[in-house]
Amino acid sequence: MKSSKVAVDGEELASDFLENEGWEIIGRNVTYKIGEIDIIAQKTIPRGLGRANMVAFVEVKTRTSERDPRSAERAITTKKRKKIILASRMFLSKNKISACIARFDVIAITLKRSEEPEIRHYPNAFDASGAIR
Amino acid sequence: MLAKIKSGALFGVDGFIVEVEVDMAFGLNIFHVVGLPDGAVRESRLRVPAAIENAGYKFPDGKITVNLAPADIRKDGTAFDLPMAIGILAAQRMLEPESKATPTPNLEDYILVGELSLDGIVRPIRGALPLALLARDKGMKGIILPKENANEASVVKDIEVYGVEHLTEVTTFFRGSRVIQPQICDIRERQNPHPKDFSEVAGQEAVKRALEVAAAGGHNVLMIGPPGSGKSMLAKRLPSILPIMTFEESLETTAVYSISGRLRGEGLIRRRPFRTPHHTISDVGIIGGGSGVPRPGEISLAHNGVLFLDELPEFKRNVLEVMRQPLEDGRVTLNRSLMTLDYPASVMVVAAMNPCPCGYFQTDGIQRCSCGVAQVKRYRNRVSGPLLDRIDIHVQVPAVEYKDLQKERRGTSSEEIRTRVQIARRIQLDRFSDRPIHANAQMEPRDLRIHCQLDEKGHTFLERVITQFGMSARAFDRILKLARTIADLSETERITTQHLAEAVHYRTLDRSE
Repeated sequence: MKSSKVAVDGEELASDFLENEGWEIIGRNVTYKIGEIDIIAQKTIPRGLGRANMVAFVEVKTRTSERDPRSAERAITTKKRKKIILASRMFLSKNKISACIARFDVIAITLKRSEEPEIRHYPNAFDASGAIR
Repeated sequence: MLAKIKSGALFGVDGFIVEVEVDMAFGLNIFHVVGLPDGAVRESRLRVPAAIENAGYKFPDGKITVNLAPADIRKDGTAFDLPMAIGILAAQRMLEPESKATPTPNLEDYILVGELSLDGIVRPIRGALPLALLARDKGMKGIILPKENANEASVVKDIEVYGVEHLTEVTTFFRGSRVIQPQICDIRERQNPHPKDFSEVAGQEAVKRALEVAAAGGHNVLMIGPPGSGKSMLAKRLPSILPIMTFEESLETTAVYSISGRLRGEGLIRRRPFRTPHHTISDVGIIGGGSGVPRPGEISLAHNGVLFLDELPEFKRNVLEVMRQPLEDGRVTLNRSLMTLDYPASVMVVAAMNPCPCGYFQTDGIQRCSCGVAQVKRYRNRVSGPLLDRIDIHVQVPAVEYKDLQKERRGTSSEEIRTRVQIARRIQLDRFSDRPIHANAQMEPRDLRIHCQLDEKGHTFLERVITQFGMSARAFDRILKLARTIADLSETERITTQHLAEAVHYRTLDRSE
């Protein structure tokens, strides 16, 4: 299987997964000079006594081998996180989204030959300083 | 959504209010702490979210900014964890009262301090007592602090002191769904007797008398004697003959121990401290210091008590040097680039030394001194100079004789001596009622002229002594001070020749022989 095909399949699986969780997908493969975001999703959540709009910037990593079970997670390096953060700021300002709270998710997928793929979702995986929470 | 919580930080032995402001805003998920946080405060960025989540609450998404106001003073320590966590919960409106019917405590009326562990347990902090005093002085209703610190803080009257063990206790307290009992102070009115008593010391009546004079007038003492003669034993018993601590003194000493985190659940310190720093101590160890906010040193830990310097000549020169100013002023001033702070250091110094490096100089026992003349001179020179100036009493501690050893060890008890000491102190307090001093040792030259008048016989006697031994003007002042104390001990107003003679006896190092 070609590697780009793997990534596209994984992102497809991830957005289906998010939609099932009640998210609305508002962007796919948003690319700027400074970085790229795989999936951007939004949903309304309760906050304090009211409600707020939550935007999730999701990085998807897909693997076909099961030999190293956490290689996808480890691939989200500090450098990669920085690029995602920069791109997310760009996205919010270009689309003039201000009244929202935004978090960064990671979805790691292992594609398997005969079984269902394994999807691991890490909500709020890191914060805007790049530190892992 | 904004929340403000009152907390406190320390500056020396004084506290100041730190307002912990929590702002929850839209934006990318992030948790900022601003307001000059130092090491451990910055790390609360990680502790606080974990503690909140593990206590069963949700750490909010969005941009969270915590400001520690005033933002221009450096904050260190871990005491801001609890106010930060409560602020974050309050900003989410999670501390709203459960029912409108019953009145709930108001968040603004309390100072909150405490370190949080990752599971939400509130851990002890340093300086609870000064912070409780701060709460009282600022007219707050009370203070909420770790359970372990509740005892020391409860000494402070007029405020409610709540000791808590877990974050959820604080939230339920403000929601009104739970009542916490304020900590009640248990000052044991009866002072437990000092464990060491003077009656256990064999012989050495002259030294005991010298220590009694020292205790009565607040004079510093140097004991010179061969190894095993009982110098340390005597020094350890000195606190037992010092006047009983007043409540104010207890509070001051406890505050120093509180900010060094040495109380371990104890309430008020009712017994005078006795500190014995080893002679390898550094200058920072003795007067205080260290990175960040300087911590109190041994001289402050001995505040209102005794600082015992065993083997005085072995101490590093610079250690003895830095003690000069504090001994004069009764307080230590630590100057750093960003701050200057004061710690109390009103101590009685008791020093001990051997007469020579081997210890047996001029002793009549079986052991013979093996030191050369130059060696002895060099050894003694190490202590000569400015520090020695501040030691009023020099006393020889001879080796104990056999007949004293086998005698039943029943000397005068500490309590008996202390009664005499307290009478002498009372006389001094009356004498100096309009001066900022409280003991004879602190008299200045003009006090000496007023309070140490000699009669004709006294003058003749002292003149003879001074010329014969070649004593300096300083030695003359010391003798007058000591004579004053000795006269106070015998409850006489006039200084007699007898008092002077005893005083001269305590200046052995001035007598150039």
